[in-house]
Amino acid sequence: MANSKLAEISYQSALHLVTFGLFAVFIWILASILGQGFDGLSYQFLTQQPELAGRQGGIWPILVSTIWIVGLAVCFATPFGILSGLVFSAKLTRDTWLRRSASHFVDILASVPSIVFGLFGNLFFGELLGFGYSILSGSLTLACMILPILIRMSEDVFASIPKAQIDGALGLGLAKWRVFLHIMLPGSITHLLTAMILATARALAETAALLFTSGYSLRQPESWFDSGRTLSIHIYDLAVNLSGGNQNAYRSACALLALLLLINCSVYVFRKYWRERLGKSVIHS
Amino acid sequence: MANLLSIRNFSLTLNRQTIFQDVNLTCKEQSIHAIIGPSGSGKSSLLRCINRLVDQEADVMRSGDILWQGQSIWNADQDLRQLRRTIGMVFQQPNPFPVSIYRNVELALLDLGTLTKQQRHETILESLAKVRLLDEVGHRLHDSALRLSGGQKQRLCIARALVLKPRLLLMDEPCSALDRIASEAIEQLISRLKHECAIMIVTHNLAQARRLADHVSLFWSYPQKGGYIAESGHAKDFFTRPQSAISHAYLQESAGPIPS
Repeated sequence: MANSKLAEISYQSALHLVTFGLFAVFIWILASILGQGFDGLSYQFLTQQPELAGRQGGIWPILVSTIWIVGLAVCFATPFGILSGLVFSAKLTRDTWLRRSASHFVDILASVPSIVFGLFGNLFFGELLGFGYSILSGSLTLACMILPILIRMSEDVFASIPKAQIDGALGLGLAKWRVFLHIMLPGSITHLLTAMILATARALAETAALLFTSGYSLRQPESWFDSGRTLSIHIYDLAVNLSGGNQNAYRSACALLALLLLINCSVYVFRKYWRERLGKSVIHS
Repeated sequence: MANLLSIRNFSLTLNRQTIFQDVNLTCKEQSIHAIIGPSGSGKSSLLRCINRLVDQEADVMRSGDILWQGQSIWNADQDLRQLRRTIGMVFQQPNPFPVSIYRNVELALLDLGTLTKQQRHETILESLAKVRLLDEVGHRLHDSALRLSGGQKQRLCIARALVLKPRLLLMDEPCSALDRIASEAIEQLISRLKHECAIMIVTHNLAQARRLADHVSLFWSYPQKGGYIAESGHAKDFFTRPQSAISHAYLQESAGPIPS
């Protein structure tokens, strides 16, 4: 009896310790970045042009480039990711050896180092397709990188839909695309948004692949064929290549965290709205 | 009454495992055909074959044929979606879609472009009225179908199938997940529906089969060899004068070892 109680206490303590540990690490990282960079983070910093290679001034063109590159990457990868996830979940298609083999390739793709993606993007998008160092090359390369995350998460989401629900829809003689669009998608949209957030976070954090593809020009891009620098590359450049760039590197890191927080909050609000809507289920064709 | 469905020497193997062998069975218009028998004898799989949901499976081998109004359901010119609209199916677990009550029924009509908006609306309400849902939840048709009770969910699934005006309704243990009151409501509904379409119902409830069915088929299974039909015939004869020893034993609910 005493042993059982001791085991229960140990188990609960271990759980609390792990949870507290994770939370503490997160707070520590956040505090150290905010502590170094919050001072001087202002509206002007976000909207001004950089000066002295970024050591002074703001980050406006970098913010624009980041939103272009990451936004385009997510837009390119999401439809492919969701549709591939649907195929791999085998909910509307048969489970074939081809599907299983392709599924293994997705795992391999997910483990390829980002620098290799960068070299591939440079060669394929930059040179072969002639996009050079551009927003387009960078976003396409990033899209390839985040594709495995989107595929795997979409696959899990679709695989968790009860088979009875899909059988019920097919049993009514509904076309498969209607089953996907009207039954599978509305029920999965909040989970798919979570997948998109993780993919966006992965894209926002990327540097190596973009050094070879989108380049690191500090100018504001005017089209997607222009080169542009993301916040991550900017932070890397300021912290590693330039002396006296640390202060702005921390400020940029704060801006990056704020951007992530903003995306998370918007999706949280949308998810809450969608769940309420799904609760009432007034979904019109 | 004419035969709507004829199953001839039909055998099914899924993932190299024999599910049932040499099934012969007919279903007439405006009749209720109950399929009874122990679990694992292939009753539900047979229903999944009739509206070709079994096509979804990966490793399917079949022999024999299923004729729907005289034509093989596997004919190349058979319109699969039309077939499924004509042969409706209700499953063991109520499976409403994660949309509104109204939309659940409306979705079934999406591919039928021939109806006007008004006609579609009237058809949906008529279908909900048939299963007595309009009286109960008519004031909240745009609420989530997932908030209905178990019995209401199952009746919604039946309404969803009925809205397509099927000639045959396949029901795979429609009451097994419901309490007694909800089961009685479904049973009354099945009795009323008999005048609109033929019904083929899989059930483990012998009393229910006795109350509802015009015809009964008893599935049995050989160990390792899959299911087969031990006896098939008029419900009255089956329940009063079973011909085979297996039927007799099954009705006595003490089947024991299978006679060789």
